[in-house]
Amino acid sequence: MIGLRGISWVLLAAAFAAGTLADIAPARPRIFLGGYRVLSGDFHLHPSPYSASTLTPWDLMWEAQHQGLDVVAIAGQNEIWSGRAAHWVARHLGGPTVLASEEIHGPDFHMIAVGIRSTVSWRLTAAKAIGEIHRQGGVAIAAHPSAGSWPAFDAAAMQQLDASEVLQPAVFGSDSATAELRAFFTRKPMAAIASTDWHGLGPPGLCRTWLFVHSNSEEEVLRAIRERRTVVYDRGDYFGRPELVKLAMSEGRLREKAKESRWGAVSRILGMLAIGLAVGCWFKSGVGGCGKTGAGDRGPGAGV
Amino acid sequence: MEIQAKRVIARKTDPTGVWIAVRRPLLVALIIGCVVSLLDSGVLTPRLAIPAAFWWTYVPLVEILALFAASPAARRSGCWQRTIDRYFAGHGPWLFWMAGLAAWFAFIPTVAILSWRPHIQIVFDSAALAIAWSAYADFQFFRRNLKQSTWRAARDLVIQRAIAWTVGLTIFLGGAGYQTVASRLGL
Repeated sequence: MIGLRGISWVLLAAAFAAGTLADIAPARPRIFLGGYRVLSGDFHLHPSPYSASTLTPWDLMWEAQHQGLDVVAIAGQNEIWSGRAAHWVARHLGGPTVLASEEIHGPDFHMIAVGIRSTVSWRLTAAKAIGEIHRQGGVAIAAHPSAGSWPAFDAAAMQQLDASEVLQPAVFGSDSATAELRAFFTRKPMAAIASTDWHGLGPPGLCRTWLFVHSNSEEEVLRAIRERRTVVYDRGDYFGRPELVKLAMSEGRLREKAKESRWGAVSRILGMLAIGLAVGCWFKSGVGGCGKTGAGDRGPGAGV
Repeated sequence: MEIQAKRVIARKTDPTGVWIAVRRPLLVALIIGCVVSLLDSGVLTPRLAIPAAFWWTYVPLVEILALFAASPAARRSGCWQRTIDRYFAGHGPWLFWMAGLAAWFAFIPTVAILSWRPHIQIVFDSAALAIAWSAYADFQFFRRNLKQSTWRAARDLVIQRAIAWTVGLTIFLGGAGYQTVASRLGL
């Protein structure tokens, strides 16, 4: 047992070493098109606690930067403090541009309030929620607006809405979800948004929005969304203002996926072996016991 | 010299040391941290695993508090360190489930998993199995280690789960969870 446990720890240490080597992110050149700087953004990232996710706001923000994102909206569900915490840490310790945000998670609609200062109640109607977001200087993005949420976005709400998610993981493998998000997006001219709706399964930035900005600042990012200076690419289709789509189509680097270091694969394999062995030892010494302490007595002799 | 050697041996064989109490909870947190790293980046990196393990220590902490709040037998057991250790020995089902989830996301591209519509159902169904298996293991813990009758073991298990899951789920998904409950109850 000690031998297996020892091997597990050695594998874990080796996996950490390989993972650290894989962590060295290659420098990414800035992309300029048509007089704009092009930023990569993800506006629907949920932190832990309180929002069914895995990473703290600051770890999430740094991981997003590691995944090549320039701008992120850290959006707690029906709360703003986690976004504000990430914003504070990014400002003082460095990181991507962080917009303190909230997912207004109501019974009839979900909406991302980007760049706000205080919590917007989920009990408000969509129109009133957008009005409050604007009063605080933020922008409103309809989150995964599937057909079930359309009645909540009445004429008053649609008139004020700034943006809509046209790509997010809900569309993967679902033609109906793809059609619904795209149909909602065509209801009025608004900024196209791609968001990951991140809850800890997969990397942040899986779906990303390209923003055409004059500088990388919170105010400029919000202005770019209000002025519809965004482009989304989804499986061969582009969404956004035609002149910006034309610029985006001309730049192949925007569609390039980051190449993974070979150390990443090494880390994965070693890591899974380490976890597998650790879990195996756990069973051997604990519940269902075949360890020396027996099935019922999961005593201190049971090794970890 | 002899006295010192005896002390060392005593320390190593002492079943009531604090280390006995914390070793399994800490390992649970470390495994959660490693799983989070693999899920979130596909790589096992200390940059993610260590802070995630630190943050997720709230799970074993909540479980320990719930155990002693729910079970008079656990409070009376005399050796709280050993009680905690034995309780956490029953966490194999959860660790097995998490290892499976990590392997799934580590070796299959995320878009491929998310494109396969039953993926959420599989996560929930497998979690339900882990919940049932873990409940059985803990029921056995109350029965055999704490020497409880079947009825009392079942009662302590239900109370322990009610406390731990209420607190844990509030921390995990309180934002949307409260809205969902309040909307359904008309609060």
